[in-house]
Amino acid sequence: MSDTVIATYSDLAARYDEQRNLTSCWGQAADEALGEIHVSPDDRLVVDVGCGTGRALRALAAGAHEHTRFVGVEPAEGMRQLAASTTGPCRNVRIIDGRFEKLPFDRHSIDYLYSIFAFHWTTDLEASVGELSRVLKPDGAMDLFFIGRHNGREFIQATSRIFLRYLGAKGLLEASVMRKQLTLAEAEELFSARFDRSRLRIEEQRRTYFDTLDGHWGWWVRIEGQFVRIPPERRQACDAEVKAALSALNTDRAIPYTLHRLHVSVRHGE
Amino acid sequence: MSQPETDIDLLISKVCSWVADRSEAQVTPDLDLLESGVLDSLGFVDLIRFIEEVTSLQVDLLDIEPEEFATIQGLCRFAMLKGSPV
Repeated sequence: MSDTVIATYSDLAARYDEQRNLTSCWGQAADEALGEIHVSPDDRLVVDVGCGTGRALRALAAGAHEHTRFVGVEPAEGMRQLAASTTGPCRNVRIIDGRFEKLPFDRHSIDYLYSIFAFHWTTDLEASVGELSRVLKPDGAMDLFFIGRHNGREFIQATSRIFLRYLGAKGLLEASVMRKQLTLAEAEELFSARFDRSRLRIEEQRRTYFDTLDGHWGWWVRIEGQFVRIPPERRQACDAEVKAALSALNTDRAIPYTLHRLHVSVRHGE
Repeated sequence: MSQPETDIDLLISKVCSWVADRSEAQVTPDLDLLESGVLDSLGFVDLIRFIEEVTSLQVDLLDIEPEEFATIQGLCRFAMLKGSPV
């Protein structure tokens, strides 16, 4: 995760758990991913990378075996503070600083690692996958959920010309590469180089969510890091144009947004 | 010294082929690639990389106008006229 994105998430952490973000399509998608995460009674060390405000940790730790320890890894300080508060009542949870590119764990020390919509913020795919394979036990399990190459096509097409004018071409492209958006084939090549293919599975999902403009704007906080280079005095005008463009996408089912999700899973070894 | 027009035309032709290979749309040199949805910003990253490879020029997009950037002909002209030898 770039320093720009980390700083933005840290500054906006308090907004992240606002109801409008939690009930947005991204909040729903995060909850759906959480529903696909399963902690085994045999897991002694479970790690959440990019734990954000700690909501997933709190939910999982509450129902876990008493011998299971949870660690949330989060590079944004503001998020870490909130996560510590959120998971405060959980004796089996601690929150630490760290990032995919350099995970603060010993080799082969983690039984189960998961991450919900954070991996695409990595600044170094190869290093991050190398770290994941380094820290996961040889028979450990992993579930990574992150966005794919074709995420948000409707919004991208409607707004790219607007961001081009406000960011400039160079700024637009720099903003776009802040997130590593892989195709299914690229993800398969990346992860199969480091993980046992017999236990590795990578799936993609495209799901279209419909919501009002206000509903979609509720999750805009998640991508604010990409727009920090828009001059503050022009931000309001940019937002107004973006909102008008998104409103033009409205159908009788509301405004569509197709979320392209990749799920990399590694199942426990025998 | 300005580049011969034919070099720019050759680049435009190559780039049109590159884009056409990645899209089902009818690709023309003046097509607005962003507005039409033929390329997104990540696609442009790959496109710039392709242009730099075939021209052996480094393309700094700092001063390109939005209208130049969004079309193949604008982008190719900018690359050939403003690009720096690698």
